[in-house]
Amino acid sequence: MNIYGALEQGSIREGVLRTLMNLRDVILKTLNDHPYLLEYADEVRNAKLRVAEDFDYWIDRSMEVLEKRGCHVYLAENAEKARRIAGEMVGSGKTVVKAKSMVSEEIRLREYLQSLGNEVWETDLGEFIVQVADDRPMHMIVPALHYSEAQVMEILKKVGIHGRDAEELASGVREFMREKFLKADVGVSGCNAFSAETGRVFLVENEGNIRLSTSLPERYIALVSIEKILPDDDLALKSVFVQSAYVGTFPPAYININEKADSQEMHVIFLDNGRKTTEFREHLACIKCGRCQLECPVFQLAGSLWGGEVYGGPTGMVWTAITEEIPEVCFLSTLCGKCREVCPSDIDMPGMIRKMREIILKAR
Amino acid sequence: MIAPRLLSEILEKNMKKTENPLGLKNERINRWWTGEGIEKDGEWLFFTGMLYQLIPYMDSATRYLEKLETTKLQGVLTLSKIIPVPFSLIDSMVSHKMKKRSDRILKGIYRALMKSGVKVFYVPELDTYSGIILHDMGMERAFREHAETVAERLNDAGINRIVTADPHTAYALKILYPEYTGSDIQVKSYLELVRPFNAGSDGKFVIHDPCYYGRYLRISEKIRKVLDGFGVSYRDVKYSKNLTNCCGGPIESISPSVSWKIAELRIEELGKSGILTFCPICLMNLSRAGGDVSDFAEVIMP
Repeated sequence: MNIYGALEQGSIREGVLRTLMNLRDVILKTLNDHPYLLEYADEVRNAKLRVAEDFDYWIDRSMEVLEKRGCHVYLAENAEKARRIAGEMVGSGKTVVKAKSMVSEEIRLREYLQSLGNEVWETDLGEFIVQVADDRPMHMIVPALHYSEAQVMEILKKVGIHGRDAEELASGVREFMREKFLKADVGVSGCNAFSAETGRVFLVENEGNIRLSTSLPERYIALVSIEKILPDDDLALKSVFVQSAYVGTFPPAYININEKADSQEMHVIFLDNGRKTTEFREHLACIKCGRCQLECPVFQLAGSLWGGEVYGGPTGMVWTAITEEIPEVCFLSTLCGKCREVCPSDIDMPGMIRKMREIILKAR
Repeated sequence: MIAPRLLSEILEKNMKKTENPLGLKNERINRWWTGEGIEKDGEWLFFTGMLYQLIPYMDSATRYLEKLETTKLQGVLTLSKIIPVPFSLIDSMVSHKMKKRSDRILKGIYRALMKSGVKVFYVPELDTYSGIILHDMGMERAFREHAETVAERLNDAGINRIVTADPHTAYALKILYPEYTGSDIQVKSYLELVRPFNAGSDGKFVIHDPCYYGRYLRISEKIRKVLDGFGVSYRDVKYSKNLTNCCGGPIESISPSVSWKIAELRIEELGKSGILTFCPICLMNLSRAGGDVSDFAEVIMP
């Protein structure tokens, strides 16, 4: 489906507006009750931009810390290299449980591991629905927001999960997933924030699936895009607080701080994929909370279908420009500035979209 | 979506020809001041930026482009580089009523400034389109050249204070011109200069803040004070002031259908009746989506 299909269908619009309605007031109340989160957001933005100015230094430092702690560490310049590294670690004939991660979408990790003959399961409820439906995440944090309960009911029947309401379906998915967790050979996660001080991977969640995905399997792969590197634990923790606040789930049910455990083999893949050399460097301060997506009028109509292959919405325009190519649909932005207004990192997305247009037109 | 390259070529050509994006001669569309007894000298130059005057024509052009957006014809036109918008035809399709309404709004703003004691004057030859669509389209060189021409003209005429009629022109002149041309002319929106007078306004309104006033120029609170001063009865919706939602207008030419759907979204929140706004683009787009929209100048029309 393209943008015009989305306009006609209306389910994306309903889903985005419903999610916005559910989360908006919670987010505003959180920020009002915990004003220090705004200061954290500033600190995180500044730290990320500082790291982005000297990625080589911070990557070296991070890799060194991880190696000292007994982790296997890799640096992938692009999506293909990252996929291959992960593929070599997983091999074939394995069961892999995955935490939801946009960076893993970016490198098409699930599809690649499946093509090697592995059974790969998304363990986040929304992402699992998207996987079973053979769809794409419609929002960074709420990937299945465009489905109604009735649609989810139909989708989950494909994998033998039945239920009369959301609660029964969720319980069915939990049962289905429990078996996968127990037999999983490899666990894969992304990373919300990485501490270069200690080599810790910070992950925030509400379902508990990340904890199980990353702690039960004997082999754990963490996929860390380089803009997630922060100088220390303090900033990494602040970053996940800010993300959770701007998603509307503060305080989060779970904050996982993953590091090398004695009983587990831990692999960390750092991914560049256009980040080091991008001219849209300011966007590397994005914490991928997806708040700008929900507030954007074009996203409200078309979801992530307004974007590139993976990322959509205002933040997705820029992430697509960084990791794929500048999407021509950036001309559909109204430049209304709402994205920047609600962004915890005050990122000038309208300014960058104007810049993208300039580049596209210059290439004519 | 209309092909961006095609649209940019049309815009550039039209801007070079007539200094406005539709290729219409300013002296033909800029008639609001005739018979108005305008001052030729004063403290604040009234600069309309032609946006209100262009609205009736943009409305027709958009209706035409909407048909083109979803047909395969566009691809052919893109390849053949034939200008797909027959401007002469659009001219004949323009609503006389809309033209009169735009003129009336501009008269209203000018009179409101006069009545507020602002020493405002108007020089039709100095008034022209700001070029903001070039900036928004990423046509940086074209925007810079146009802005330099306009700024130089204003400078040569010894202008040092400008009062604008709409948020897009206000933003262009106040924020972009200093950056692109080094211009140091003081720029204010008329909403920052009018002082309340007995306007006899009645009716209850729901405010639609234009994005450029709400976010880019941040004058929503000032606007509320003006409304209070005039005794205008209004209410705010959840998404107002700096969090206002877009009317969809800025993409009306590149994608009339998406633009129209965005306007519908906004109308759902505002309701259809009694919408009050301060921007010609919002006025056109929200009206197009079925809203009963008034411009502030119509409400306080002296």
